[in-house]
Amino acid sequence: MSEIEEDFKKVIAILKRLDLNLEDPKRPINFQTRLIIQKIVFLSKYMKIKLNNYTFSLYKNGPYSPGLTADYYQNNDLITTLASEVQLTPKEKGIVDNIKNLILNHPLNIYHQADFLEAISTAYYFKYYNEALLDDELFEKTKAEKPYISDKIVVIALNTIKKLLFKPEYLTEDIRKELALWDNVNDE
Amino acid sequence: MTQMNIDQTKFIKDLIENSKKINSKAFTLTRCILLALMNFNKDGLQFRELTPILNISDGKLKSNLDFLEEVGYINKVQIQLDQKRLHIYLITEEGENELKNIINWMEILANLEC
Repeated sequence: MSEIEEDFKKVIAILKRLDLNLEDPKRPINFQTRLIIQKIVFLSKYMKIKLNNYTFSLYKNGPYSPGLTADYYQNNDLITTLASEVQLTPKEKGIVDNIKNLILNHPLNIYHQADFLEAISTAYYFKYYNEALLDDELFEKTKAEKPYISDKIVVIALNTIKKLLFKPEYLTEDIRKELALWDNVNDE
Repeated sequence: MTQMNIDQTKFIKDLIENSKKINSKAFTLTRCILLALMNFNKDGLQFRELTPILNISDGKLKSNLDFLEEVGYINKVQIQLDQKRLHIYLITEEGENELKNIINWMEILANLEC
């Protein structure tokens, strides 16, 4: 079995864990399905799920992998059935669950799914390659790339990225104590 | 005839003959870029995405897309995205062939010493 097939099977396992109901990506009309797959796989890869065969580039139209497109055009039946024998590792499951809880379960995902996913993946790409970017710089860069996405959605996307990038070790004992003080204000 | 003369003759012949395979109306900067972008992004591109990429007016973009659609190099498909009705543009097989002809001709041109 080639490595490309292994990676695509992992993609199917990711989509299955997310419990997504996807249309046939090969039908031109199902653009939203293709967009969801591209953005979810991009985020999975950049959040450290090993998917070596998919290379994403960003130039004006958000993170996009032509190799991934070729795979789901060729194996479109797998997208609709989500049949995969690949088991995700506990760490991979954790990453996918994070994507589900923070993005797919967000209220914006109901009526603004495409714009929300576009904004998150585009800003995530910028932040990944330049961690030092400040919030307002990240906002400007994302808006320049996606001018048609509303300010509100971009701001919510940036806040969601902070949650996606949050690591437990950031919560030091000092910060924990300070937060506890604020949490207990009403008790006194 | 010397080797150099043969090469030069072949170059000129290839340059002229292969140029005839190109649809000269499709061979403008904007139309070439549109075909190349759609060849790269086989998922389809939205009109609203293309405007900032090309930095041209909506009217100019529309007339170029209409032309490429008319000659059968791209397809315009109506989609539903976030409850909005939009159009995406996808390259056709004819469009891919035209792009290949353009690339082949440019490869010949690349042999020219300036």
